Amino acid sequence: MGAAPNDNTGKKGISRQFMYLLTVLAILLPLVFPVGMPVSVTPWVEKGYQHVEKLNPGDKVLISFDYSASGAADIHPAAEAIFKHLMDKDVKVITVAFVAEGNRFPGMLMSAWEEQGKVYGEDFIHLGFLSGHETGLAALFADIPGAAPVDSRGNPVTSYPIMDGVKTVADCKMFIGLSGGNPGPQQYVRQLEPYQGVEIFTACTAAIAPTVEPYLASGQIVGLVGGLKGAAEYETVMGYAGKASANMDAQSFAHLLVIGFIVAGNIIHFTSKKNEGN
Amino acid sequence: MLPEGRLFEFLYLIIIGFTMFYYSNQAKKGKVPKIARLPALDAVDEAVGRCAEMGKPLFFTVGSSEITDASTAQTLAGLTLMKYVATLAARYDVPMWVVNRYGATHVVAMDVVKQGYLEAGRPEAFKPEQVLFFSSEQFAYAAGCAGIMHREQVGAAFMVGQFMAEALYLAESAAALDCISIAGTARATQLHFFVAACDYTLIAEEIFVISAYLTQDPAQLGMVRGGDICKVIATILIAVGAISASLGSDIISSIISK
Amino acid sequence: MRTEVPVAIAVISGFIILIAHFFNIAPIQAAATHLQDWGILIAAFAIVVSAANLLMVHIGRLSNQREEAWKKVNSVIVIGLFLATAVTGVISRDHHVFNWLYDRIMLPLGVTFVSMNMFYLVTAAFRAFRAQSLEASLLLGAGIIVLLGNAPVVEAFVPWFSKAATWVMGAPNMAAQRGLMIGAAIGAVQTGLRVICGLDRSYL
Repeated sequence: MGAAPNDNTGKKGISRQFMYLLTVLAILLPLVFPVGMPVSVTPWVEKGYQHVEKLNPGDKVLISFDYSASGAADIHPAAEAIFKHLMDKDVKVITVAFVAEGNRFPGMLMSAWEEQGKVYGEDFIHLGFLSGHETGLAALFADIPGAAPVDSRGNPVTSYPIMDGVKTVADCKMFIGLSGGNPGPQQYVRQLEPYQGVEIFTACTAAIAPTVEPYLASGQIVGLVGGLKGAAEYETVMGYAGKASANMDAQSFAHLLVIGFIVAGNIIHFTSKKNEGN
Repeated sequence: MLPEGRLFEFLYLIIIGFTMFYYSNQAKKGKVPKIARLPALDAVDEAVGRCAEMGKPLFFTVGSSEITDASTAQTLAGLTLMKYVATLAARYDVPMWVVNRYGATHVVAMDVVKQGYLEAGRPEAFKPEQVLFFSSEQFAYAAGCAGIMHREQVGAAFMVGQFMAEALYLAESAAALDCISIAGTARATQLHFFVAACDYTLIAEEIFVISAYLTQDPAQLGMVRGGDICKVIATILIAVGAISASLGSDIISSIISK
Repeated sequence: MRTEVPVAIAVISGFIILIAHFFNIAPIQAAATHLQDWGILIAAFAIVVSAANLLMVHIGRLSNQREEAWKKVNSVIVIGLFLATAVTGVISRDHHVFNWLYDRIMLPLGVTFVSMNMFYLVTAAFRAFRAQSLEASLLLGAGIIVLLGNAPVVEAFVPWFSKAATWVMGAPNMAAQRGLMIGAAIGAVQTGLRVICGLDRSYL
């Protein structure tokens, strides 16, 4: 928070272009030549899985798709895995989006499951996009048919069997928030606070996962799938290897490369300081 | 009367309100508190001056800040600085590019910048086409910001508000241009990118004292003091709660959950 | 009047929402629900206003003789895609052209741009993550442990990295997050109280 940071790129250090080339290779090569290392499951993913596993056929779950195209790489694999889990258990799923760009994702998942025999309006329904972020969350939770009177297909939501007996979020057993940032886990916890019987499970980008820890520790959120690694863990605990697991090797090598650059940057910085001192 | 679990929340709100107005009143009576220097805010005038000397425009964005949810506080903080910078930009004849991610924020930002030019006595210099909305899609907005910074070769970049993953993108774009970058956010997950890549950073709650710091208004400085007292109260509660919980007592958690 | 009316609206709305949160008074609750619904409508309309602004800027560019040619080409693309998306989206919520534009243009572009963060992260890591003090070294060490803990390739050889990463996230990180969260929350409450009491008018 003072002078501009020292910049060794291109002067005495490694050129930016070379660093970018190494980055491309570190990500591309493991995708072409996969290593296939097993993924260990962290406690919060395991807990989230167990809470979903406890749901019974016919229970209703509200899922909010609050990520856009830019968050899709991190969160959509988790969305696919969690949706598969819910479909396998015959749980009824009500979806909504508070991010305009997130409105497409439920449709993509539902089309795939309709081909496998699931029925729109009975097994799942998409309420469409609601504006207002946290204000929209508050309005939806208090009165679902009131806040979203028609679904994404333009039909009255009350005409579908899945919406029978659903007035507020309290009529759902669980709320699953798939968040790219805003609205995010903090907003979900804040707005679901009056509805104590509804469990909150969240999948979010790796960048915001650290901010969810306090809510996990206090029990306000029952499980967390953080980023692509979290999605790979969820796939592992479900017993299959999906898109997230396939990308873990690339992520591993990318992490190792970043560490390598941090170490290299420090070595170059301290040796040039020493040389200047001499 | 109060729903279950809201009593402590209500009492704490009363305490925050009381301390804010008490210390504000004290400050108006002459007991003006001193607040620590914030190099980021001290650098604002220098940054705008640098742009004027070099004949370069400046860039401002409040990031992924809405005015319809809890990030409103950060948005307002960013808008407060935006008006101050707009006033300086108008005074020194520095073109100002403002980019917004959300529609509601864009509408308000347009008015705020216009008001800044008005307060500087130069309403005719305000150009609405320099307050832009690109898209509410995160990286379309970020790419637009980076594009403006690079094409216009800005001399200073201000990024104050709520930022998400685009923080690193914007910070590095500004760093590549060798311009003065002043950033600030209360979003913990993006702060480190700003600290690493920007020249000056306002960390977390420092963005909420922008108005008080820049105006040095005694009433506002008093309110800052009141807020700090509340943070001390929270710290004491946490410490006592942690110690009592370790000793097997849940007295603090039972008080807080009332 | 120009400033008094908006401030009065902000003050009254703020107090209604605040009172509705703490007290169960039926008329106040109903008013708060209406205000929330209006908030959603205003946010939706603001999208329309900003989209209109976007169109005006680009149409203005096309009619400006002095504008550079490549900027005009960009504007034609923006206006064309805007109209294609808007018209097909209005015709049908599931229009194949709308879906194609989203799936084949918007989604890949969005993912591409977020991927560029990786390159910026690499240069930032090289340039700025220096162990220049004890605190910086501790921070760097914690960052490296979390990075290694999230890499399955490393976990296979050194399993305790994952446990160490979970501990770093669950203990020191959580403590720091709580501190930042409380500080930012109190700051936000102060700002909210200032707006509700009409003392902060930065939105005007």
